[in-house]
Amino acid sequence: MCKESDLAAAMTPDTLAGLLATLFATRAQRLTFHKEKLEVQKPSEKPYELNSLLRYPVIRHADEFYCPYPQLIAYAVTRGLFFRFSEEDGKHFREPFRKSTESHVKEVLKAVLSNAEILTEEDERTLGWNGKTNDVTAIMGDCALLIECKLSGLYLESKRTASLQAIISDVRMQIADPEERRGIFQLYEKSQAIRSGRFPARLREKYRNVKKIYPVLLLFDEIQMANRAEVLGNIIQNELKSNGVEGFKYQIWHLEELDWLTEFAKSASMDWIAEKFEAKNEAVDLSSFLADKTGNDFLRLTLYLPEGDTKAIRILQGLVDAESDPTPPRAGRVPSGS
Amino acid sequence: MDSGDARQLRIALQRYKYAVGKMPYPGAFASIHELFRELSDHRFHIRHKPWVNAYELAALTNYVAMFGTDKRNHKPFFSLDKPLNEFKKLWKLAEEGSSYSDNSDYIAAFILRIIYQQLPFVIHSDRIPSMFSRMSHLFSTDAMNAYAKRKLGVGSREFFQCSQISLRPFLAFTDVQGK
Repeated sequence: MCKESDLAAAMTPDTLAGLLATLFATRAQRLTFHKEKLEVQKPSEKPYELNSLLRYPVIRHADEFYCPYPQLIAYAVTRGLFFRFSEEDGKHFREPFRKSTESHVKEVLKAVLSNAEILTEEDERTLGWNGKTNDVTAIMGDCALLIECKLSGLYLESKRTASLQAIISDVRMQIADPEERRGIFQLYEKSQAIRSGRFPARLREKYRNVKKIYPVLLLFDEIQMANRAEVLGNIIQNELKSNGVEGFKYQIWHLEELDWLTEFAKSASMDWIAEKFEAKNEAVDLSSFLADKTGNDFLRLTLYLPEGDTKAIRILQGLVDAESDPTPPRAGRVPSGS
Repeated sequence: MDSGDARQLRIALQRYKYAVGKMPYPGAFASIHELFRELSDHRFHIRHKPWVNAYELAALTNYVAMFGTDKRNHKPFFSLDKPLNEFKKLWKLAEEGSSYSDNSDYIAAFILRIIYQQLPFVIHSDRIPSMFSRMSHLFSTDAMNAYAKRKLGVGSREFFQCSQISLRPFLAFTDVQGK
């Protein structure tokens, strides 16, 4: 517990006011927010109801502030603000934020791949290319890393229900849009252009030595297990196949993972990327791959499943048995008095 | 889901809400905070307390913040086991009634909702500085800084720095048990 005076000593009144308005909620404010934005009615959906602490991690009670899980402040001012501003301002927030994400990716790659040529979409347009392209490309030796940045891959309905219908609809809209040929289709068409060399001369020269292409759809709003066939991979491959694209190898990563990759691998980043694209590593998340390589277990995903003979546990047990992954822990009952 | 299952779920939800309503507000936050700290110290899996997970504890905290009792004449529960077990039962029943696809191509797509249910609450301390610095960097362009000033009333750099500072007093444990 702390009081306003504890925080006031460390910041200006304007900043404190901004923080209080953004992260702190009284009981009445929380109840209103919950009822208007988050509450689900079906008891079966209650365990998947969104939690108001993700928006307002600090509980304001009279002149006291409680934050039982302080780490949620970090969530609320990062991904929490992203969702909040996306909801409140739509493209007026998302468009400049997307551009900012692209420039972050460019800077991060430039910092570690000093021998690489980093090209943005704008650079390639300036060199006369009018075909499909991606946001940021790093060309190094015979390798080309193609990154297409997207802020989100799945919307709330897919996340809360995981209904196939909702997921397929989001995949078509965000991840592999066959009508506009966006997302993974963009990466496919750019890869084809590199292989066939059908670029204007000045750009063709830059890709002249490229033999290995690593196409990546990079999300800000992460989708864990996106590369697993049984989770999202087969849905995406079906979309690609029904629109004339077969056997195209790509990866779905998220921005935080790319930052960790470059932080750990530094100048060897392209080598690690090549290794991640190897068949044995392609289905795992980049963060799990990095955890294996570096021993940083905090990058691994920890999930709990409820006790009981649920369909979820039977399906996962089957996958675990097939691949010898660690079995997810069960969220069993608390012994009385614990 | 048949009507018997639906009835069981309704009852489980009522029992959970009843248990939450007996938790003291704000008195329960001290023991909740301590458990979150233990989870974080054990990298979100406490081997000798395998039943504790951040998602369930956060769900309980959220409901205590809204529906915990602040009436002085109520005799509150201070132990977390009762409401946590009621929540576990509700989740178990909800999962048992879930109709996931049998199509082998998409057999594990359901995991996405479990991921999004739990992922936001697994925040390892090692990640926190980079979470702030990344977001601060993403808001550092002229357009994003102007946006932050309009939305937050202050520049983005100052906002993210002070957000990080605001974490510190809460990370220090304060005993308010029995308040």
